[in-house]
Amino acid sequence: MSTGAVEAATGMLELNNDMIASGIILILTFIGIFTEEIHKIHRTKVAMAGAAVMVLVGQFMGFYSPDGALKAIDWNVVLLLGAMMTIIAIMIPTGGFQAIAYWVAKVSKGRLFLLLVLLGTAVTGLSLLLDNVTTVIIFGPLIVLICQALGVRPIPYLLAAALLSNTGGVATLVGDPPNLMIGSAAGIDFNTFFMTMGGIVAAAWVTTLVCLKLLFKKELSVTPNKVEFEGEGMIKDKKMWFSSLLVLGIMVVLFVMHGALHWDAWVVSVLGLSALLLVTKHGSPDKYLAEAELSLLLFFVALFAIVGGVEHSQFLQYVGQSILPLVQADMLMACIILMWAAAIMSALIDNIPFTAAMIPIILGLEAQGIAVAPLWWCLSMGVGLGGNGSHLGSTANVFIVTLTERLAKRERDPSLAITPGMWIKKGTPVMFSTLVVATIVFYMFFDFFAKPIPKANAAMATEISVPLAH
Amino acid sequence: MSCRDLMIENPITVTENQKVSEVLKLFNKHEIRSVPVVNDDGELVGMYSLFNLINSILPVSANLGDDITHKHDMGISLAGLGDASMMPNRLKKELDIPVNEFMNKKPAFVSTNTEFRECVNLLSKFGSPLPVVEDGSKKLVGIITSQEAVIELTDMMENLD
Repeated sequence: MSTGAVEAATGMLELNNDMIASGIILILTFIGIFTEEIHKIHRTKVAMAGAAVMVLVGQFMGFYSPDGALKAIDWNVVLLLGAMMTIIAIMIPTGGFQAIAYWVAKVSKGRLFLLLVLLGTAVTGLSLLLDNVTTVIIFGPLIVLICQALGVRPIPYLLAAALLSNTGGVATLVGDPPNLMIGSAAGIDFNTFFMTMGGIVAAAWVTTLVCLKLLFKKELSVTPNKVEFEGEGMIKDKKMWFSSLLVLGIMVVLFVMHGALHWDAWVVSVLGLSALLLVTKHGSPDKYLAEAELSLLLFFVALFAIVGGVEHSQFLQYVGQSILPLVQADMLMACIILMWAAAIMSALIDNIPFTAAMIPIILGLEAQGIAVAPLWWCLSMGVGLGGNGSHLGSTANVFIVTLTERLAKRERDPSLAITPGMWIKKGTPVMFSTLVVATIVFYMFFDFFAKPIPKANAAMATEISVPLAH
Repeated sequence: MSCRDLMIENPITVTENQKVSEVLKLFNKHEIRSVPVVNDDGELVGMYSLFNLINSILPVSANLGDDITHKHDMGISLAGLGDASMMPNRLKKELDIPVNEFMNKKPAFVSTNTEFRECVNLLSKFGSPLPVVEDGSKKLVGIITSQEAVIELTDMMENLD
């Protein structure tokens, strides 16, 4: 561990001006990010401005520097997300996903709950590897098409897609940006992540389906139109689609091995992207790169730079220190509180900045000699499952809600839109049920979650935990 | 030479509150496929065309828009879904709705003073016809079309020798 951490371990930190300055910049920036709906300034712009102020003030006061900011950026997260976004931009136009959705519709033969389960499984399977938003952007419009052909209301299936992609994403290191941030900071590899979280997420997943069946009893018992779905013809570019599947398959194998290979996760995704780009027809990769969401990547860069400044000022370690007694007194209770607090916070606000702020606090606790493994798992579960809590809880939810609003407008039927009130009636109960199940599983298997994280890959943990010497 | 010299004056227009069904009749009667939409003061407020019509009767999944799909080329096919009765159903509902809901609310336009060569440039970028407004106001005074531009170009070519 670093010198700063040793200092923290030996002596109690006193609140100083550096901490106050960085804390104020962090809080103001986060308020700016969370109130985007009110002032309409994009969160990336707010975060970049915050990062700029943090670096300038930090350099002026002596606790931070441009160089420190550059080192604080977790490039593992940025590169992995960027590569995955581009891979998906290559895969979508092939029509392969539409073929999968039609095939699912065909196999379910008008049995609606089966359709919901199969669509949910497809969405979850994809969310294990891809970002949740991407998964629902792919499946949302296809679900609407299928439901319109069947003559059934699409809301249960769309809600299922959002809820299950949020839930499924929790299971893997690469399934959701917060997991990636947590895994990268804590040095958790793909296997350890999946082995630890797989079971509890499976329990939450089944709970979600059971809730959906109960909440949409009426909608799932109607008789749909008889439609012959023809999936085969949907694949417009077979070569590209099957090459992509092959590359994804190899990537899964490499993700499983990345710890043993001493690779960060980004290596796998960038290798996959490089291979896939070679197969593409377009001469220049610009077409696909233009579809990667650069503003989100820049948001991450700025956020890491901001949190890095707060970390260098040791403000978050100070915050960590103040909750130290609670954690020492009852780790299990601290974990459960963290899970629920993280869930409620991420239902209300963007879970990415929240995760970014929690990570250094947990790293600070670790530096003080606490075995923090269970806290990492609870943070991941909380922010992941909490995304289901409101219509704004995750970007996937926002997409689904916007999709249904446009659908309602096109079909001139306001009842087709998912309203915030409807989310509270149908989505929020799912969040609470899955959290209760996750809490019970966590309580019963606390020893399993409290096992130290294998540190064979400690070298993989990024620089984020190294404060500047004062 | 400016737009004023080759525009078609007093073009057929519709007002924003006219129903889609009336506008379609007008399209048939005059054999046109696009029409400027004006308000009560005769100011240009949009363009309505057959493109807007077919675009609005597609299922929403087929044209969601860049803003919510992160610019992804979703490439959704409407094949393989059995019957297509949804589209005539949407058309039926649309006939009674005013065109201002479907029109292009930010149409490209030229002003009476726009130079001829710039008109040609804009016609090639935004297609034909383009509405012409009085310079310095929004008042619609004419339209220019690729046909008119080609006739003008042909004249100019013949005068070259």
